[in-house]
This record gives sequence, C-alpha cells and structure tokens, in this order.
Amino acid sequence: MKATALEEGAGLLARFGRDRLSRAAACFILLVSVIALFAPLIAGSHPHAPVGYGPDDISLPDRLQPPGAKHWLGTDELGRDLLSRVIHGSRVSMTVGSTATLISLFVGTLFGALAGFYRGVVDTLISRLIEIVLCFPFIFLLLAITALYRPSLWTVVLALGLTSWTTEARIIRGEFLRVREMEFAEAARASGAGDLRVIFRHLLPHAVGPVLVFASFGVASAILTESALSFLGFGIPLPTASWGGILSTADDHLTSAWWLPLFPGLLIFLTAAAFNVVGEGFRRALDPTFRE
Amino acid sequence: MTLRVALVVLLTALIAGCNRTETAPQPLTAQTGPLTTPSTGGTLVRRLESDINTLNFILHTTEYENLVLSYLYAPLIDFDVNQKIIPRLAKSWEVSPDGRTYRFLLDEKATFDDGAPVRASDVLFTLGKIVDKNSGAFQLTSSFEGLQLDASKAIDDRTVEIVFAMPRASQLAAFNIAILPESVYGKGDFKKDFNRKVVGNGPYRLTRRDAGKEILLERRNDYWGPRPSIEKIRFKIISDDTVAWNAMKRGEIDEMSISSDRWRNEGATESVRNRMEIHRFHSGYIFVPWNNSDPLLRDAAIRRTLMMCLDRRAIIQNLYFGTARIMTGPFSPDQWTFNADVRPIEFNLEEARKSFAALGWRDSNGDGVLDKGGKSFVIDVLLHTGNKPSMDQAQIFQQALKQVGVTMNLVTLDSATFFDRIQKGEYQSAFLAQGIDVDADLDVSQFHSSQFPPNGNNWAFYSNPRVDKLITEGRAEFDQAKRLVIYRELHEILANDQPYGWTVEYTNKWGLNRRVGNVTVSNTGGLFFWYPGPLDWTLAETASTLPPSP
Amino acid sequence: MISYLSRRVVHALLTLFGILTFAFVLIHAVPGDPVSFAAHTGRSRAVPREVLEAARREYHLDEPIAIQYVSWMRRMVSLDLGRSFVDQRPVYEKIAEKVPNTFFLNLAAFLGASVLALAMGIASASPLQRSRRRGVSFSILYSLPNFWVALLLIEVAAVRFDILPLYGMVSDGHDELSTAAQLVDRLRHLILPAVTLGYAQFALFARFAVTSLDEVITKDYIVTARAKGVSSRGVVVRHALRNAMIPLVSLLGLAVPLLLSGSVIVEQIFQWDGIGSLYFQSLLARDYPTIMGLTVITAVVTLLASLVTDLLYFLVDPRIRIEEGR
Repeated sequence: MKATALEEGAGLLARFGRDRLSRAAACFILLVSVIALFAPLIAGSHPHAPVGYGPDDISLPDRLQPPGAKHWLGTDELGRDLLSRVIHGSRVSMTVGSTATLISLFVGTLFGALAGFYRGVVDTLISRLIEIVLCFPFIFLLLAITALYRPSLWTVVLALGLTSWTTEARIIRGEFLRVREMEFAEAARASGAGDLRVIFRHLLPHAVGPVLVFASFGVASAILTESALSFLGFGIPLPTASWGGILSTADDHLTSAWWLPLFPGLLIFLTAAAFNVVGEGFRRALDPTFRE
Repeated sequence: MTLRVALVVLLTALIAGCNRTETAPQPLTAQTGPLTTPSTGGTLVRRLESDINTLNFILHTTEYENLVLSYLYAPLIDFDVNQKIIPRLAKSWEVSPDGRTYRFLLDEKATFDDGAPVRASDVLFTLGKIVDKNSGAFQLTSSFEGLQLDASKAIDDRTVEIVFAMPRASQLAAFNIAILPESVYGKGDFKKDFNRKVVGNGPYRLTRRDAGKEILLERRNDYWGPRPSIEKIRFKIISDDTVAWNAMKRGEIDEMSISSDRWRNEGATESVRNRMEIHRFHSGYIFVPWNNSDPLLRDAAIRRTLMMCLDRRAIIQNLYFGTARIMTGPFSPDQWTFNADVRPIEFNLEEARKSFAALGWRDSNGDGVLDKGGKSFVIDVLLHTGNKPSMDQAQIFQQALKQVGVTMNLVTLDSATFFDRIQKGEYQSAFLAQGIDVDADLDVSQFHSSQFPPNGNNWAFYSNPRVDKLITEGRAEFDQAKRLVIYRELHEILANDQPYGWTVEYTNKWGLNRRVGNVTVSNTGGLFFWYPGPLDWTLAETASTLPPSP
Repeated sequence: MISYLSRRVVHALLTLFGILTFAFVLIHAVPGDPVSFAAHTGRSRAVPREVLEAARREYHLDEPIAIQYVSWMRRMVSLDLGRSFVDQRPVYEKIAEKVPNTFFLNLAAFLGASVLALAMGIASASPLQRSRRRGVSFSILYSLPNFWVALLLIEVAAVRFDILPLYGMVSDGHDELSTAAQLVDRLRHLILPAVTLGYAQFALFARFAVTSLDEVITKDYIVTARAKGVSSRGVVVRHALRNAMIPLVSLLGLAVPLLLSGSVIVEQIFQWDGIGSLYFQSLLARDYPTIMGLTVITAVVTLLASLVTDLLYFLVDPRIRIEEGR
C-alpha cells in the first residue's frame, strides 16, 4: 500500500497492455472516439473532407444506392451517404454509451457502497430507493421524460443513466456485504482509518471488479438500448444520424438494401464488443489476485 | 361514423336529384353478380395491424374494428363501386322536400344472427345510442347532429321516419351505419357487455376471438341477403410489417398493405408475382397543419412561401415512384368538387428567398437563419412515432427550408402526446394524414371557425368569415350544381390561404394472394368499404397447394 | 429471523406505496389522456366536446388527481384493479390472460440460459485451465443488437430454411392437433423468441459464473481446501459455486421488471401476445387502470424477489450476519 496512485495507475495500464486482444479493443475504441470527435472534419460537404457528403445531405435521386465508388457504403432511403451518416452516428453512440454509463456508475457505486458499508438505516433507505427505481420499467420513464420534455439525445441519456444505476448499486452492495467481513477490512478498520478511507481505499478495490465488468457491459448495453429505442420509435430524434436510427429505418429494406442493416449493425456490435473486451482486460488488471 | 373508413373517396353523385326522390332498390346486376355464384367455401386469412378493443359498433373508434364489423353488419345504406349510395338493409328511402325527414323501408327478410327480425324500432334504438352523449359514440355523434329523436318514429315494423332540425346534404351518406338489435343491446351494461360478443345482421357471425391473436368469422347459413362465396374469415393480428410481409410471401395470410419501397423492390420479383397480385388505389393524403394563431405563421403569404420549399414532385417521383398526386387543396382530383383551375404551389427556392425578403425576413446577423425584428425564423414540426412517410417528407422539407434560412426542428412524439399538443394549440406545425370523406362537407368542415379545438377539428385555428359562410351554405344545399360552385370557391380560397400545407395524395399498394379471385378495385373507393367489395371475393381451392416460392 | 422478516415486509409495503404513488402521479402528469387518445385513433371526424366531457366524467378524469388517487388506492387495497379504459374489461382479467404467455417464454429463456451458463462455469473454472480470454466470447455474444439478431434468426430459420414458424404462439390449426402435437407445436414456436430473449441472458450469466468462479477459486479457503486434498472439481462445486451464487442470485431478482420493458421488442417481432406488449400498448393509449395494474403486479413480484434474494444471501453465505432488532 506504499505505491502512489500514479504508480498504481501505471502498473494497471502495464498489466492491461500485456493482453493483445485488450490492446486491439482499446485501439478500436480510441479510433471510434477520434472519428466521433472529428466527424465534422472527416465527413461533410466542405471541400477538404475525405468523405465529401454531409450526414444530412438529402439527394432523392440517389436513394438506396448500393455500395460503390461514389458512395462507399451506399445510401439510405433519402439518398444520404451512409458512410457519412455512420461516421456522424458514432458521436451519438459514444455519447450515449459513455455518458449514460458514467451517470449510472457514479450513482450506483456511491449508493451501493454506502448501503453495503453502513448497512442499517442507510442500507434500508437506499435499498428502498433502488427498489422503487427498479420497479419502474425503463420504457415508462422514457415515455414520461420524452413526453414532458423535448425529446433529444439528452433525454435518452438521462433516462438510461437514471434507470440503470440500480444494477451497479446492488452488485456493489452485495460485494461490500461480502468483503467488509474479510480479514483485511477488519484490519483496516482496526487501524483506525476513517470510514471514507476504508470504503474507497480498502474495500472498493476488492468490490469493484464485478461492477467494472458490468459497467463495460453497461456501455455496450446503453448503445444497444439506444438502437432498440429507435426501433420502437423513441430514440434520438431525426434527422440526427445514429446507428440505431439507421438500423430501424432499415427494417423496410432487409432484403433489398442489405447495406442498411449490415453496416450500422456491425458497428454497434463491434463497438459494444470492444467495450466488453476492454472491461474484461481492466478487470483482470485491477484484480489484486492477479498481481503476482 | 359510418361503416366506411378513412380509406374512402367521395361518392360522385350524392343523392342524384335528391329532393323527394326515392331511390328504387337497384337489383344486384350482373356486374355484382358473383354473389350468386355457388359457394366455394374456404377460409380467407386477413391481416389486422392491431387488435380490436370492441365489437360494439356504437363504441368503435379504429379502422380495424370497422373492418371486422363490415363483415358482421349490413348497414342501412351502402356505397357501390362508383361510390353511389345504394340500398342494403334499407330497400328504399324517401327524403322530404325540406330535406329534414328521411323515411327508410327495411328489407322484410332481414334478420339478426340470433334469428330476430330487424325492426324499425332497432333503428330508433341505434340512433338513440348514437346521439346520447353518454354512450361514447365518438365517431358517430357528429354525423347525426340535429337529429330529433322525439319527432322520429316507427311507422310500422319495417318503416322508420327520422327527423332532423336542419337539412344537411351529407346526411344520407351518414346512414351507412350498423343497426343493433334492441332486444340484445337494450339489456345490461351497454358499454361493458358488448365488446367481446356481437349480434349482427350481416353475412358473417363471430365464432371465435382470441385476444391479441385472431378473430374468426363464419358465413351465416340463415343470412337474408346474397350469400358471399367465402365460408370463413380469419383475421390474424400481426402488428409488425416485416413479419406480415414474410407471412404474406409464404401464403400464411391472404392480403396486406405493402409499402411503396417493398412494392418497388420486391413486387416485380418472380416469387412475389407468383404468390400475389398487388393492387393500387388512392386512399388519403398527407398535410401539414400550420398553427394559424402562431405569430410566425399568421400571414398566409408566409405559409405559401413555406410551401414553395417542399419539393412535392421529387417526393412523388422518388418516394412513391409516381404513384401519388399533388394535393392542391382539400379535395382530390377524383372528387366532383375538385377545382382543376387551382394550380399547385411549385417548388422554387429562389422565389421563396425573394418572397421571404419581401415579407421582411432577411439574414441580418449572418448566422444563416432569417430574422426579423431580432427574432429568428425557427419553427417546430411535430411528428408522431411510426409514421414513416411523414418522417421522410419532414426531413426533405427541413433540408430545403435550411437552404433558404428557415430552421425547422423535427419533434417526434408518441401519438397521445402528439394529439394532446395539437388539440391544445401548443404547436406550430405538424404532419398528419387523413382520408377523403364520403361527402365534400366533411372534408371542409374542419376549416369552420366554430371548430377550434376542443369543439372540433380546426387544428389550424384557421378563421375566415367567407369560408365559414360557404361551408354553412354547402352543408344545407341539396342542388348539385349550386354545391359545385360553392366547393370550387372553397377549394380556391383554401388553396390560397394555405391553413394546411397539403402535400401529396398517396396510393395504397395492396397485395392479394393469387388464390383470391373475383377482385374488383373501385376507382374511387379502392378495395374495401363499398358493396359488394370484399364480400364478392372467391377462393380458388387449388391455389392453397401452390408450391412455396423458392 | 422472524423479526427480520416482518421488518422486511413492512419495508416492502412502504416501498410499494412509494412506487405506486410515483407511478400514479407520473402517468397522470404525462400529456394526453385516454379519452382524447381514443378520439384520435384512426379517424379524422371531430368528436363533439360534450361526448368527450361525458367520457371524462365517466372515468372520473375531471376530478382532482388527489381524489382520483385516493379512490384508486382504496379500490386497489380491496384487490380491485378496476376496468381498462380501452375495452372496459377488468384489468385483472386482461393481465391474467397474458401472464402465462410471458411467463413461459421467459422461463424457457431463463432456464436455458442459466443451465447452460452454470454448466459452462463449472466446466471452465478449473485452476488448471485458467485462460485470460475466458469470458470474452460471452461478451461478444452479449454485444449483438437484440432485434438485429431476431430479424436474422427469422430470415434464416423461418424464411430461408423454413424449419421454424415465423411468428405467433401456435399454428393456425392448433386446436385440431393431438395433445402431443400441440405441445410440439408450442415448443417450435417458443424456440426463436426464447433464443432471442435468452442469448444475452446466457452471456451475462455465463460471464458472471465464470468470472466469479475464477475469482473464488483463488481465494484462501479454496486453496486450503485443495491443499487438504479435496479434488478440485469437488472444491468448485461445493465451495466455490456456493459463493458464486451470490451475484447470480442478485441478478435473478433483477430479471422481473425486465419482463415488462425487456420483452417488448421480442414480443413485437414475434407477435408474442404477452404483458410486454400489453404494457407498451397501455402506455401509448394512456390506459391508466391497466398501467397501474401492471405496475402493482410487477412491483409486488419484484419486491418478493428482492426479499427472497436477501434470504438467499443469508442462506448461501452465512458469514453475512443479520443484525436483529434494528
């Protein structure tokens, strides 16, 4: 426990980097992030863009063109360049995935740790809150939020973030109930460390494994949920390009325009998979039992 | 409303020379003859996009309920292939010279499926339910406004006289209603007891209903009218279009509506052509109601200029593959009230730019958006989820408006929220669709200033004294020629004022399994909701053994 | 134990009260009401104001929300969930009709997923073959968009090869079949939706089973047990599995509310007539009594599941002491 946070972080990264698949997945996420960040420069109707079409540039005569020299990934049902749309769609998926997961991770870990550590009244109150949120099917809350406020990317993020933290909280709570009884926890408390220090310094590293695994699933799940919402017609409002949105309009063209369901579906799948693989890598790197 | 749905185009000759005319019961001629062909039996499998909530004709609201009910009831009057009013349950009728009294003579053979005869008292009972505001007859009450139930009476068991407070040219068409047996529906709780069971006077009776799955009807052996050829009708509830399309291609269902893209992309393939025939017919139109009470949209010149930015010809060409038409006003070219002199507003962004500038809207701060008096030209357009044609058109509209400096934000809402906002006037514009109605009066009544929500459907909050006057006159006028003058002027004024931005009149593409025979498509009414229509269909016995498509 | 239980039950009732109040307020706050929804479905004819007002009066929608709430609560307490605004049927009846459909679909998915997952967990969690890649394949399975997979399954199994039914729960001539054939028919219809619903669950469960066992297996008491000469497979099953059950059990409780929002898409694609679609339709139609009825039932089941989960925690891991008398 002498190592500084910086050294620990470096060690963690080194251990993470030892796995080739994790590295590849991290690179993929980095790539998607860079594309998302610079999407307007990469794809737009301005002269220097590598992809010379804006995501919203409608051209009806070009609708439903198969992939070719002009449109590398083909066009959608309004003649918009699919490549440009999936490039811009990466922004939606990355924003929804990361923001919603950060919200749920933060809220979930906080509530879960407090409940598991203090137990008693704190646990009772938090558990009641968790149960109340849990009993609210996501779709109800989303409908309420989008009907009461103007539907946007942020209503989707908010609805996702505010409904999914319970899973994290319950897992953390369960883990805390388990690890707080272990010898090292007793020892930490006996040494006179403050509650917060015990929680975050001693217990959290032992309890956080499953929840990090879950958080990595969480990003994927947020991306997947966004596409499912679009399928039901409650996703990111048009004409904003999102992978889920493109996929849902592809429903009409499954047999005749295979590129419409294929590319966004593949991107959702690959991105979600990359997040899962990275989560896996970090879990192993974080796990004290793997440090030898 | 009536047994007809929104799919309907107006009948051409409403009550030809209707004063004091009794329409002689026209014999079902050779043209409609197949009803007399021997029964071929078989089960026709129809697709229902949504389960039905009620089988009570008075309470029904959706077109799916209407579809099922159209097999269970023979309405008082019906429409023929040319949308002319023809006898059905009523053998004949007379209208008094003042246009206020209707006398119907019921078919003396007519019976309900419980064996009881259809009596004049049943007609009065049904009308009583329709005008009782507590019975929840959402779709029907407005068509019987001014009905004087106390003055109406049964002359004898088969003759009924119905009196209205004022004459109304569209009234006879409104009698396209089912008649419920008082002996059954007069007992018990009217709103609760008859949603799952039904007693009708039509050619079929209900034999089975599995909520969420299917509805099974069987031909009545004791039916009093011409018996249809098909023995059983099975409605399968399939809400998802892709699932239905797969089922259609496999021959598991016999009919369904097909999207323009599917029609274009797959309709010509051999396997699809072997399996089905696809019929086309006009069925409704899409429009953009502008909230005329909004400061930004109050000026008709602004609304006309906005419409210069919607490229309807490109939409028709590329999204409907030429199977749609520009709507210039409230009437479709198939309607006798259509004013062909009204020219459509053509797509012209250059003109639109000039016009906005002339109206004082310029991009003075260089942000790419027009402004006037410090206010930017930004409007919201409401869309409801699942309405794909509207979504496509809204995005095309948005894109073009952006080029002239108008920002249009698309707001997608679930239907209940969508209609709530429109009803309350909390919106600027929206995309809506509706069908052509059975009478011109019903197509324009929504522009009367007395119809502002919540009183009626004047969602545009449009008010024009001249229009109000013309609507009132047209409603009470029985002379065809005089009505034509009125409606032509209405068409012109409304096209000029653009309370709605009418977009296109689309066509339905309807796939029918090749084993279904003797299908007639009405020019004005399409496949359904005219007589005999689907009651005329036959089923080939051999077709069910067709090899599955490769 | 008894006092712990009774305390939990009191808590659960308070939670239930909170949930129902929140749900009631929220659904009434959302714009649109059942009457205007019914007035606008499908048809363009205007509905006279008096007719709408009469309907609102009948459903007591014209009363203040507090009064509506109190009268709904009063009826709910006497186990009367009211009648649906949409088709006037008792809410209880509407729900009861759909529960078996959703239950069997989810049971099939859940059983399939957890049995496979546990088997995989035991099979792979041997210290001799610890692999760094273990679990990755599950993550990949979990990363597939649900309705994409469903459409693909339909395209392959039902359309191209025509070995399984496209949609629905039974075939058209189901009633005429023999009992055995009926069962086969139902099972055939169950396969595709259950796979669609279950593959993600399987991936999740398997992932947990494998990682938890992996983690547990390196713990001191297991190492000790192994040192004492207990066979490694026996160690896994007797000790490790019991501990690995904790997160699995906690997941189990979570599955219940997912029945509502989670199966909406699957039920939609396969035209499976379950409570997921009922819930979705009711929300869209603002059918307050049905929405509240479904909320009551899921809430009660979820709370029961949570109670059972806590008890299982206690049984599975006796080191978690329940503090009595708090």
